[in-house]
Amino acid sequence: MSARGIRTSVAAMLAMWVSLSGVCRAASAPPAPAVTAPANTAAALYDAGNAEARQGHPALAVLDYKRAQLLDPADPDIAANLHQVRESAGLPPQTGGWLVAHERFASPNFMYWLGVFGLASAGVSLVILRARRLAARQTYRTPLRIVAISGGLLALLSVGDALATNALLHEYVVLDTAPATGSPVANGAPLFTVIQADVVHGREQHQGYLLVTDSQGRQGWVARTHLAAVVLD
Amino acid sequence: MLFPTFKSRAAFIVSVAAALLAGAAHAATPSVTQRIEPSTIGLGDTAQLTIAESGDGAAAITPPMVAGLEFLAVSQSQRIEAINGVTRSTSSVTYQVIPQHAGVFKIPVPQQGGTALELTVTANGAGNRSGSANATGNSSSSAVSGSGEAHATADGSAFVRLRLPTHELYVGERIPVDIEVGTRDGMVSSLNGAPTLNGDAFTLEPLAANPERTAEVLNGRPYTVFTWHSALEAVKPGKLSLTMETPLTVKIRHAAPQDSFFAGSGLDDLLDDPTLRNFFGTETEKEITVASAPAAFTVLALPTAGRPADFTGAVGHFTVSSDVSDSQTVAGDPITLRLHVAGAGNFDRVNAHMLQNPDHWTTYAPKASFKPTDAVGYRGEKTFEQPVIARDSGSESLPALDFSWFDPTTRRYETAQTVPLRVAVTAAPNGSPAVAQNTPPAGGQVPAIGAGAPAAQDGLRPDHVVTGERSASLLPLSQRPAFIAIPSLMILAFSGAFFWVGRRRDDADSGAPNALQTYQSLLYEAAKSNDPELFFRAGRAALQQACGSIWHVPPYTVTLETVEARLGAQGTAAQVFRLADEASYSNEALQPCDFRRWHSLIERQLTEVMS
Repeated sequence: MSARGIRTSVAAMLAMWVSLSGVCRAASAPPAPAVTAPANTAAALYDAGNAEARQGHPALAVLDYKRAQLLDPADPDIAANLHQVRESAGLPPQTGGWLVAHERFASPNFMYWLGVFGLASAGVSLVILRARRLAARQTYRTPLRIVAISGGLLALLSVGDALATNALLHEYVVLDTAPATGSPVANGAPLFTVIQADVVHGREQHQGYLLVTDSQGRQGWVARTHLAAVVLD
Repeated sequence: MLFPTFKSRAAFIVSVAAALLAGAAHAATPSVTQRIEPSTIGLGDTAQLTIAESGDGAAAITPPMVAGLEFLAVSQSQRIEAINGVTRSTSSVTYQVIPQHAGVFKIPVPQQGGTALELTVTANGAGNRSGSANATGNSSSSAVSGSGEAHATADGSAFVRLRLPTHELYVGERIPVDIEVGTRDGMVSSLNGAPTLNGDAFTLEPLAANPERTAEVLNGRPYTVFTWHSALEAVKPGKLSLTMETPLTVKIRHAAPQDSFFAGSGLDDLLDDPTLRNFFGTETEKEITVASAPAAFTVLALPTAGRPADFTGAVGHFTVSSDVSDSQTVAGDPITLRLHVAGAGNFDRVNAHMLQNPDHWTTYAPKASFKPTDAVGYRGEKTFEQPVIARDSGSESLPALDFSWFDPTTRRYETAQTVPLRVAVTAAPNGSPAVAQNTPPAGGQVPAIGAGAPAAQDGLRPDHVVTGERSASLLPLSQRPAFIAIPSLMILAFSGAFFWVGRRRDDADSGAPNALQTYQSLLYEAAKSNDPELFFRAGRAALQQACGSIWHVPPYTVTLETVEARLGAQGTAAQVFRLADEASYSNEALQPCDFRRWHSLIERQLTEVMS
């Protein structure tokens, strides 16, 4: 493979990555006119959260903000309004969690495609190095090694992000204040109360009840009707 | 024979010294007394056995051997007195008696005619605990009015004590509890963590990292007492019990062996003293867990009879009041209705429904805040704040608020009702109410609490312009099986390509060296057999193989012209090619030294080409 061939391959991979991640579209597209909130865009979910907050529905507002944050974690407005609503509901600032703790710069989907691109770059570079015809010449060997290492690091970063994102799948927003009981039955002994608009982590489901851990680390079974999953599958 | 000789001499010296000092000393008859306190204990408790021996010629005190009882020496003393020329020594040892099982034990007296002691151990732990190691403490620093039983370790180095105001409570009722851990200075190296609860029917508020520290004397022994204040709550009814455990590290001193150098001699009593043995003994540390005595509770279920409809699980003693942020307002402007619930109890279950859109008022969701007045959140005040807006002008009334709870003292449900609040509402400046009916204001915004703030003052950042494409699912790609397969397949594909390319390369590499090695062997054999034609032809073939491998061309295409062009016309390779052509028809012989020289040149050329 000639030097021109390598350049063509790298350009093709970059084009694939850009088109898949949607970065190109987001950066170059002209501002679209305001439309009625379609589901599942960060802006639409954010606007829906604002509307719920203004109507005095803090739990639904928190739910919309959390979902919007999933699509656009770097948006400071989402974080600010989520903080405001939680504070108004008498909840402490949310601590922990990948989104809050690390102020991530990109959405999980962007990180996924970044990892795929890194994996492709590393794989192609390693195969070329293995072929040795081009790699026999020092001119190509060093750049190929740099591309392979960089691609590998991107792939590792993506894997780490995927592991951290997995915790989001188990987040639930408390729709209304409800008792958490010691067992998943209707007349179970109440242990504590989960507060409306609080975010809890689900651990195990059993017949309409979910074993949750609240922000204070307490565990109890809560009826599933009182909870809404942040991530819908 | 030196040892018994020395002991005899020592006994003789002591005897002579005693005779000189005491004159005509009389030999008193040795006597042994012993007592045990208390004589009845529960299993898990301990008693104290004191053995005193007085008189001349007394033997060393040894603990009795009783099956089912363990004797642990905790203190010892020795006294020598001379009265009217008569010397008398008294030794006493105090043992802690630890029963292994319930029953009646007879402790023999090591003296003829003595009466054996009797120790009764009951299985239910209901023995007389007065004077035993399980003592009732009383600390003035406790925040809980009740007293607790200190449950000590076998050697008395530490104890754990619970102070509880009551042993009867209701499900959901919260009671304050003080957890005290006492440690003997010098006997406990460290506390290895806060006490932990043993009992799955209770929940305990998290314990502070820094407990209170006080000094206390218990059973005549000084202790440093660490106190954690917390609150306890039962989660199910029944006859229940709990204990608290604390991990700690204690120092254990091992005394020197009793078979002293002076055993059997008259110096035993002086030189084989237990204090001296301890002084020369060793000390080790051991991690143990000390637990409190089980605290028994009667946990009652909340009665269903008479339970108010608005009961949310609050149990305790509460007082209720309400007020409003402004008794004069303008129609359409929000004011805040506040409900204060103060007292002691489980505030996490204190909830109020507040107002649900009464006549002439628009209401919004309330929010709650709690201000504790103690360290564990048992006492304090919870305030519910609800934004309300008057729809009509005039003298309006905010209805009374109800709050229900269960009072464990009166053992019944209580319902308190606040008084209705009067609010003077004036008409809005434009003469029309700002808020129409029971619907949110225009724009869906809850007006900020205060003085009719504009909508932008609700603390929320403005809406965004909706751009971008819709996402079909919120589930991140990295968590979808189909997308997890993509990198997996890529890894498989690249791994396959990696090994396939490597194998092809190895195959290509492996052919040239094998052929080259064959020609090099042939070159060596030709030189050995003095065959110039075969020698140069083998040399040429080896060079063709090497050059073809490196230049990626078939070996037969490497000709004299190619070699001259790429390696030089006067190079060794070109000369070998020419000599190979000449040798086939000239039949010119070569000297052995010529073979060696050409062989060396060809090998060097091959090395240069391959490198």
